[in-house]
Amino acid sequence: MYEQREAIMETMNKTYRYLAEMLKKEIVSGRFEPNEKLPPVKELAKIYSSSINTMQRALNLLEDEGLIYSKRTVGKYITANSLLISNIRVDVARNLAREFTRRLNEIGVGPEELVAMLKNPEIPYAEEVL
Amino acid sequence: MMQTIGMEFNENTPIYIQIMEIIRNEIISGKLEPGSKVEAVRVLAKKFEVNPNTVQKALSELEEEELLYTKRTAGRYVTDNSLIIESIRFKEARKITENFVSQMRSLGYDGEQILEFLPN
Repeated sequence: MYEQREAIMETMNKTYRYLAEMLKKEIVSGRFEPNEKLPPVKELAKIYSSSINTMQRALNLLEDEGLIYSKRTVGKYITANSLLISNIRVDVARNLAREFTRRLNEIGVGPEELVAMLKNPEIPYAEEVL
Repeated sequence: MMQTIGMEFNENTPIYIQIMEIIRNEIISGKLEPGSKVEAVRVLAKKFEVNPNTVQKALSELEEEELLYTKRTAGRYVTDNSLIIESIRFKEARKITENFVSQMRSLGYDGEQILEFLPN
């Protein structure tokens, strides 16, 4: 019983972090303008097919990072601090680049070989294999 | 030997596909050598902490890709056709690169800017 609860909590944990990550990407890629008002939580939850609770937690996470802020009773807004937005965009890009290198590394492709592959877009040996 | 320690699955992709990717990566990176024997389904299931059917499904898909083959009664083996391995390795590298570039583009980065994020 206890274990089951743990598992559910852990899944929830991952879901809201994933959701926060998605929203963050949208904000830093300029889908929302600085100072723009966000749709109500209920509506955002619908758009991202999440529960209202999970969406709320994801937004709280972004609020902690300073990417969004709440005006009491009025709703949530994107920060007006465009420097913060562009700093976080750089962070997101760095993470993508790290993930990219890690995935290539996993299949044993180093930088030089990658360049060679991209210069020659034909898939090698395809004819022999097919 | 498959490394599975500390591994976790993500909830957005079916587990058999994630297992497939792990094994495919082991093959194309050469960690699982061409022609070598693949561990038994129940052994892999234990390592990945999943149902044997899930492993079975992943292995069958890899057979479809011709990265693995079954010797009757003797078990499953990694292909020893290095052309197939190379060609799939190349396709994977391209897929990973395209995915990265398109995500960077949607963040608003282009060409040279993208390269600046990569180690030299």
